[in-house]
Amino acid sequence: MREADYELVSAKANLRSKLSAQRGRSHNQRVRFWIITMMLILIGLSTLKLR
Amino acid sequence: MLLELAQWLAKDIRAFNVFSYITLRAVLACLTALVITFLIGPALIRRLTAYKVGQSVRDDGPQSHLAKAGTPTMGGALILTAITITVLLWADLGNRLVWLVLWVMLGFGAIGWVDDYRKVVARNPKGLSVRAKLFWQSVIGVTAACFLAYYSNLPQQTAFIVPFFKQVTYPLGALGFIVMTYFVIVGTSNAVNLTDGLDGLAILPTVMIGGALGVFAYVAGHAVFAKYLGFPYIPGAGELAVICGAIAGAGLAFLWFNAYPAEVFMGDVGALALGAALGTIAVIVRQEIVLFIMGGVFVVETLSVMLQVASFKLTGRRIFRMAPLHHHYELKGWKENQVVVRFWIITMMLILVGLSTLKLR
Repeated sequence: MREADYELVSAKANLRSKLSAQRGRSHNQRVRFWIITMMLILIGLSTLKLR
Repeated sequence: MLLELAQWLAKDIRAFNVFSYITLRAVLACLTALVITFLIGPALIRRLTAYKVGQSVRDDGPQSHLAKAGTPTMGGALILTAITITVLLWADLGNRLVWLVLWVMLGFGAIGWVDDYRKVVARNPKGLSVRAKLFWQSVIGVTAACFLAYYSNLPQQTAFIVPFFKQVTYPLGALGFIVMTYFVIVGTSNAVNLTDGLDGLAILPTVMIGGALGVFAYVAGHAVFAKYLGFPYIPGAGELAVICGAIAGAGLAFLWFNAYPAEVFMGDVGALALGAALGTIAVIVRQEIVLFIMGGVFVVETLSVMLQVASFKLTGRRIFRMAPLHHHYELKGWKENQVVVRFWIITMMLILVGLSTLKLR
């Protein structure tokens, strides 16, 4: 990818990031949803033994 | 403590025998550490903010980092508290390896605490001197190494295991083992500390590596699985899976507050302690090279600093735009989130490679 193309893609990504932040979906929230998913997976895994 | 209680109750109610299984206690330790961190976290952040225990930001670093100045630091104390309480609750307290890992983790945490305290509370920008920091790290590292060497009564407990090869092991001898253990513990501790420069960058790899080491600890401590997979059998190592569970749980909950934009940083108190704990566990289960593979991000970050310093001193030129490596990519135009998530993805891949050594040998 040429340098100019890369910069365009990067600028678009930044714009998407700003828009999603305006809609209330910040990176922080995304990571917190991942953490909740991991916790639920742990609870799921504990059923391997807890029965 | 709860294990003893469960064993006592199991005399009358057999269902309590389920708590004698390490796997279940590891999962419960993870969930307990998660809950403790979630409960204490907000109050601790409020208190750190009230006491103005705010991070100072290097003025020669990326400009985007100036906004981070004043964010509460020393949040690692939260992680260490959660891990310690959890381990005291769920681990077998008669196991000396559990106490050793706790000693190393809290010892390195104390060094980090003094350093952070001097920097952010006493407003001494130098903190603990490099020499003093290394001296105390060495004291704890050598003590732990001597302890392990003294109590090792099987040859595989001090042998150097090469992954991917079933038969390739080198007996290190007591001195070789002590030297190697020292370098692994101190090296890992400082490597995690160097990596801890972006929001969430160090903690999730620590969580993932902790989880993977838990699997290795379980296998190494299980005579049947160890024999089946061609692993060195280390009596008592299985109990370390509970500590790994606690590290994973506390770290994951800490990420809740540390994800970009971070509400709190772990500081040296957390980074040094967690790195030392991972190093100690890897040494006990004889998986130093696997730790080196899985902690590739930590290794590369450390190498970037070493190469940058060496190159600048020898030739006057810099190899990277800035060291550690994460700053290099930031200055290349990557957003902080991109650097962090991409380094997480690399760690996940490396952990898969590390886990593949369970069977590929």
